[in-house]
Amino acid sequence: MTSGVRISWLALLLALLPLPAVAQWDAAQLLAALARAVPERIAYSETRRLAYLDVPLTSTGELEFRPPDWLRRSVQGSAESYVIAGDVVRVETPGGSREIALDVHPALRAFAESLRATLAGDLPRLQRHFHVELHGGIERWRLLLRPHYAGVAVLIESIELSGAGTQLLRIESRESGGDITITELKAGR
Amino acid sequence: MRPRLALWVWLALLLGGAWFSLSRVSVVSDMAAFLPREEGLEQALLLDVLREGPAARLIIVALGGSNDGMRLAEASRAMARRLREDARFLHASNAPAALPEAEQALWFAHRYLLAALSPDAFTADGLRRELEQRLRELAAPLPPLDKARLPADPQAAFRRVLAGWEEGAAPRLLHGVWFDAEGNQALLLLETRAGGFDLDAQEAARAAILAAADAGIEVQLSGPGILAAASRDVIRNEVQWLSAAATLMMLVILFLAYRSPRLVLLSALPLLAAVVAAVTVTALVFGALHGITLAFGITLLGVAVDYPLHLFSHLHAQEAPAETLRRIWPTLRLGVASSAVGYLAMAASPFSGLAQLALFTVSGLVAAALTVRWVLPSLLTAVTPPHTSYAARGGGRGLWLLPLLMLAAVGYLLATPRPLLQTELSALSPVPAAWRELDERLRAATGAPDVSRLLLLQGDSAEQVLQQSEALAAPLAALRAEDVIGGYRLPSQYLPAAATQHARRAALPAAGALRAQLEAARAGLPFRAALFEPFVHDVVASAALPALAPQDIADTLPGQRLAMLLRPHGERWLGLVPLSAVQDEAALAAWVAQSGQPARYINLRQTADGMVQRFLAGAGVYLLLGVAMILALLAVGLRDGARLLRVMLPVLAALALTAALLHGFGASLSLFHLVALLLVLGLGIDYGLFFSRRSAAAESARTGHAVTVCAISTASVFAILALSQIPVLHAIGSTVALGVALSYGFARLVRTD
Repeated sequence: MTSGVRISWLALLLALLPLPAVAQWDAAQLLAALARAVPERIAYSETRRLAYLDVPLTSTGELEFRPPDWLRRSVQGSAESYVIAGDVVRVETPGGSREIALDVHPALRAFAESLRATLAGDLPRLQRHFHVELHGGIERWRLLLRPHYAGVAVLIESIELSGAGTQLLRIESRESGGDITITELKAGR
Repeated sequence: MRPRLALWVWLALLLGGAWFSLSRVSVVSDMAAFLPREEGLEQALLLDVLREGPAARLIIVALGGSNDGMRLAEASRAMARRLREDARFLHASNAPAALPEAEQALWFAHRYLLAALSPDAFTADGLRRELEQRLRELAAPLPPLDKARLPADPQAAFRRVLAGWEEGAAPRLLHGVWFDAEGNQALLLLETRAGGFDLDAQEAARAAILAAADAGIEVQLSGPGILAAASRDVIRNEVQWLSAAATLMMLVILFLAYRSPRLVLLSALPLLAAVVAAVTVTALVFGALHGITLAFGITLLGVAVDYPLHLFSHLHAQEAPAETLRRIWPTLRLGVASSAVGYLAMAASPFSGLAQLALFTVSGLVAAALTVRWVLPSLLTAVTPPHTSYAARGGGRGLWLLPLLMLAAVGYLLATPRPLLQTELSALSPVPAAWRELDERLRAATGAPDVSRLLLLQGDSAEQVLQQSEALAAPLAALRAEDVIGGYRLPSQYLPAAATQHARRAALPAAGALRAQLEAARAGLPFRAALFEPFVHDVVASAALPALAPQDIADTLPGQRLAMLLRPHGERWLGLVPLSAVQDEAALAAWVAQSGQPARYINLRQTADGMVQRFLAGAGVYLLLGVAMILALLAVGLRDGARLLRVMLPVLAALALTAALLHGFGASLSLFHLVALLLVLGLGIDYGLFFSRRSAAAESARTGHAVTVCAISTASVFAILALSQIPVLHAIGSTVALGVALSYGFARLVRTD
């Protein structure tokens, strides 16, 4: 019990320490810098640890982003790709494509915006769905997103984006039921 | 003593009738009561279902006035929240209905009785196929929204249950709420607790909706009840200002003609008696009075103002008023009788509203004539006779001119390529065209079903109708695939027949067998061992569940949808299958005829338009019959062929020319134009009768004065009516004003001096 309290204090102190720096550097500036430096294509590898499965699911693929709101995710070895454009997700398959409105479920919209709004550097759009907390400094930063609404929280517990400087390197999303998805991004052309 | 007695009797009747009218007569405003008494039970039944049913209680709300979609979405949510707390509304939806938690549990528990799964769903192969699909979904970038249900429902059976309830064309979702296709207006669908034709309740609902809107948001709303209530308001407002304007106009004309305030006041007595008598008699015979009868009937009773004018204009100093009356009474009586005979033809029409209108008018006219006969003379004793100046100009020329005009008009009407008659029921609607367009636009935007085309099922029990509905599922899907129809809703989409639920229950495997199949299906897939134990448990539990019946789900969301489509009727049950976007009606009707299914195809709009068409065809006959009866009456009354010609020729020529002119200026002749022509006929005969009286020059001048005052006042009053934006009032006003002007002019042409 005592150690728990002590750790909390420590965490609070650590959180307070970089306070003077926050005055010069905040989430808005970070996102603006990310948006300026975002490459058109980003290779990724993903590990998904699901409570239902014995082994993690892994995959690699590519993200393609065109500001402000067009994002394609193609999975290597799969004929399917996902395009988030405007207010819909389009699942493109060789046989055709089908569209799902992002608003059929608040979690879907929030999930889509977590990455899309971040890449677009649009903090207000991100804050519409999440409490946004910035930890760390310019060299190593972590952006913690926690959903505002209970409707989102039933599926997404939190999403942590982290990186160095103007590069987004890692996305860790924690879903309900203890599922964790870790996506490592590699900058590329 | 006798006139005095008559006055007292008249006063007693008037007061009694007025008391009865004001305290005992209920005015109904249900448009459907004005519709034809239709012979077919099914049609009547259907009209009833559609009138009472949820389709009539629907209100569509569109919120606009801002370019910010988020703001409109917020306004939509705020309005839905406020209206859900309002007891006047059953539902306020602005997004796809999310099932309440309690309901979810009920439906989820019954999923193996409700969902149509493939025949091999519980074999290793079928399960394997589903598990592989679930694995793909888990690997997809977006998490499946029903992930938590996977251990209990690896076949996603619950998704199939939900998919069956999805409404065909749902509006677009934006910021979590419904929007129109352009994203400019947020949409809400409301259902009132009160029926669509409870106009006061609909009016209250409208006020509540407007009050529930955020400041600065523009609200548009529509729906059968809203339209009915709003058109009642339009009629009420229009009738108020029109009758005020008409009364003022009348007073000015009468004062200019007679220069006596007393005569102006007395001229109102027959009209007063006419209204009281008409309301009382109609209410006694029909039980209630229709609002439309009241509005149009009072308009048609305007003729009664003419009766005292004939008496006033014929007064002169050397004669007692009672004596004057006895002189003109035969002519006046013949005029009233011929008008009444013309309207009696309408009493036989299948439009119950028109039958009411006929009785209303006839009883009013008779009361007005009796007032002039028995009451007015005794009130005129101290009145100075008016100075009746009238310049007679040469007549007689018209006898050859009128037949030519009439022939030309009839020739035009017969030869014109444009349809002569307006046969759409909607043309009779008092709803202004702009509102109908708004209604159509909102209806299209929300994808609210157009309930005018449907299949009708009938059975001895709800279960039987549900089985019939299930039998239609495959053929209707085929018809949709062939583009014969765009879509459909079946009652069995909300609840399968009990027989089907029993069959599904009987086909469920036992726990041991299911575990074995599941193990075989899982081999090589990364799903954890024993993950699907909840599934096995639920399948076993389902085998003991009783089948759901309509009454078990009555207060659930799908249950309410089902109640719209599956209704008891007496001992029988009816199923409605609304069809949307019917492309090939002939193919559909042919399929229904040869399918052997117990379904009937019904096109309500066509049925309704057909009823109007049949009526109009019939009305032509009634009109001719009316004219024949009037001719016979006049022939007997006048016993003079030449005079009969002088009476009838001007008015018939006026009728033909009026119809030709109206049509020539772009109007299609509706039911109400025909009613108005009947009124012109009665008025014109009156003018002809008085003009053709053989009399001395002084008397002839008095007659000329009387008819001129009548014609000017009637034409002016109806010209005011023609200013109305309500199609029906405009039709009646323009027809009568034009017809009276022509009748009067023509009658002067043939008068004998």
